[in-house]
Amino acid sequence: MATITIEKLQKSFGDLHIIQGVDLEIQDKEFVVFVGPSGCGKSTMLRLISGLEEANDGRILIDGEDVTSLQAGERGLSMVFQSYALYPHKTVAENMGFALKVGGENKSVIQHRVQEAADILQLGPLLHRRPRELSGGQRQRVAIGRSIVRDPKAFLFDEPLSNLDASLRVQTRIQLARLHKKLDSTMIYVTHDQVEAMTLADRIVVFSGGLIEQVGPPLFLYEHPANLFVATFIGSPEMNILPCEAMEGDVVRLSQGSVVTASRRRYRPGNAAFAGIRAEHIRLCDHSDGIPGTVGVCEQLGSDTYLYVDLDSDHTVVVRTTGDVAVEEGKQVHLEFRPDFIHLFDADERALTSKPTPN
Amino acid sequence: MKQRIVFYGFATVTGGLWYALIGIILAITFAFISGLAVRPHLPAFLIAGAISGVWTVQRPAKQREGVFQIQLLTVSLIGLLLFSGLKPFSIGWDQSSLLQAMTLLGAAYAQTRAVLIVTRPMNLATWERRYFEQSLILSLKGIGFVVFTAMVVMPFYILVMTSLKSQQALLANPLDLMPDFTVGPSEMFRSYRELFTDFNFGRYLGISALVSVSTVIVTLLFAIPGAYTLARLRFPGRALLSRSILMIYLVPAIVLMIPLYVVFSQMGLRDTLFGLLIVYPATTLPVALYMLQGYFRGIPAELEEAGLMDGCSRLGVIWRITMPLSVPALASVGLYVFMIAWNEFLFAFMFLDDPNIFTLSRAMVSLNSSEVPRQHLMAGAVVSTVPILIIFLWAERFMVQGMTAGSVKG
Repeated sequence: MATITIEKLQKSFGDLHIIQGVDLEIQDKEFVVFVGPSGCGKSTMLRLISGLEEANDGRILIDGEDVTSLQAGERGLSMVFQSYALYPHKTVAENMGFALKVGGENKSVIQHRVQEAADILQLGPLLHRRPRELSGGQRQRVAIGRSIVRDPKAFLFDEPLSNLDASLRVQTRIQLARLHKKLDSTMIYVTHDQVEAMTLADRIVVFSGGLIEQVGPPLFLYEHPANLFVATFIGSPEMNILPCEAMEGDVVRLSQGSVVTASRRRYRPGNAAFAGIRAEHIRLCDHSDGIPGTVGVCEQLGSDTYLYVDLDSDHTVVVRTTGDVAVEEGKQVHLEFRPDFIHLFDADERALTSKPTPN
Repeated sequence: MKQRIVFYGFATVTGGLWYALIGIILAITFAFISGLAVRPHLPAFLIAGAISGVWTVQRPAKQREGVFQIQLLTVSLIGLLLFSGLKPFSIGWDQSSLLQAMTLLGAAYAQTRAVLIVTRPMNLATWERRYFEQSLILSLKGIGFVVFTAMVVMPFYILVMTSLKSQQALLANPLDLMPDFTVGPSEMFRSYRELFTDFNFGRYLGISALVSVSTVIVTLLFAIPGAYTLARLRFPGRALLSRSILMIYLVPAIVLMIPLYVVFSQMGLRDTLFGLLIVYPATTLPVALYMLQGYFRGIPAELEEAGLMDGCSRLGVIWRITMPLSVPALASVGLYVFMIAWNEFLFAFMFLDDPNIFTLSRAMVSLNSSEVPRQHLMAGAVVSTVPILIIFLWAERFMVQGMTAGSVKG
């Protein structure tokens, strides 16, 4: 229903530069997730798009139309807040129909649209209650319903699930995924939760320090992080990063002395300064030509076992094995890094073994 | 041993205090009803109370039922009579004997009940600090309740009763507050009737209502946008402005009186109600701004942002979301402003000379002369108090808590 284009957007509060010149193109019907650590500017970015914050510089275009100077209500977007922000003095139905009422729709249209949205979210029996009589999950559904009723050009979600308890969060997440399919509309979603980002997104935008670090489909970011920040931010447990030194060809020497071959294709010339490998790409091996280490901690989660292996006094790597593996803490083990999955980064923390753009 | 001293010492003091307090209040009530110069014999009340307190607590709590209570009542009565030389109210038994006997009996009953209740947690066998504290809290709660009720009710009682009496009765015995019910309602409410017919109080009531309601409207008209600005919008100098609001109160009204008098005289505003409508909102605005500002801050900002997203303008958000949620604050601010304006005396007294535009408080002063009898003054006071009372009771329903419950997850 809408493409959103952001050009050289800047926002600062006093001396604090929250958004430092961001360009982004969001396609029609795309589900885009903004992730990043707290204070990275992802929420501010969403508020800039919504119109609740005014940009200092740059432009925002919706369907090619410059909306930078328009008020929040005039942009035709709707937003779901982390705290739900339901109007406490209105019933559920009034909450959902409020935007249409402000817009001057007639009563029967409002009622029809509210009923439609209520059917989608199974809110029918709650329509005449007030927000204080609802549970947390119901309030969240009402907040989503309120945004659906408006039939907006795009939906904006500001950490909508972070106030729900764990099981409700999973349910609502799946509901949201279904909703996106059903409504087939553009959605922008801010979260700090990896799982939400990975499962919901068509594309993830990783923010850090007011800049975009990388944009791409979830698995692309997972497999081809553009830099050290994205590599460590996406994926759980965090990717293991070890300082290294380039040797001939694909061979690098890790800081504690072991030599590994990184057989991934290089996309950029440059010398490797860091080698990264995910926990699931490390294997325990019997032969003594593996990388030696001592098991510091063994975490058994049932489905998986995480081994925290100390390579030397400064460097620990996490190894993910199947749940039936149990290793005594303090035991000597040998590790094999799968050569295809070793990421290399240069001294500026930029990836050498990553595609520059998703295909 | 030390424990026992504290235990019985506390019982002595508690008993004495309660007996004295109830004695004083019932003696005053007795005086109001009978019109006699009644004074409670305090030492007698204190000693009887101390004995009763000690005698009660030395028994286990479970054995203070039935017969013991009658014994306690009897002992109290005998003690009160004995220690006061048979004159617990400092008057002879020949003066309104029946009422006096009833008062004494009522006092003794109330006193023994009070001591039994507040000493209930006190038990020598299970003496613990917390029981002592429980008893102390019971005592303090009760004393606070009784004293404050008396402080509020008694002046009002005197006010109403005096206003219902005739001039002759007041002169005959100023202490006797019981109105003469035999003369019939028309004679009893004579001072009220005369107030409205001869002294034009109907008009003053109307003017006061007009001035107070207008003051409330004008104050809110300025305070709502002002407080909202301070609470929500970012602009340079906001903190300074916000803090300096209450500084207006550093200047006492009396200091402003003379300059204002001069300026208002020159501008022709002095003897007008419009002049009052400039001064009153100016004096009430700071507190109104301060109260509303605090309340607006408490309303979650997301609610207003949701309103903005739903297509409201900033003013639309204030009108459709902030205002409905602020009804409790608006009600209390409105009530506060109304009371200030209704009771205001200084400016009304200085500015208003024309009897046609007197406010109630200004009109009350003109009543206070040697020609106007006292019951008229009292009736005037009642007339000016009752509207406030009614408005207060009516406005209370708006001051509900938790308006924003359920809106956001905290």
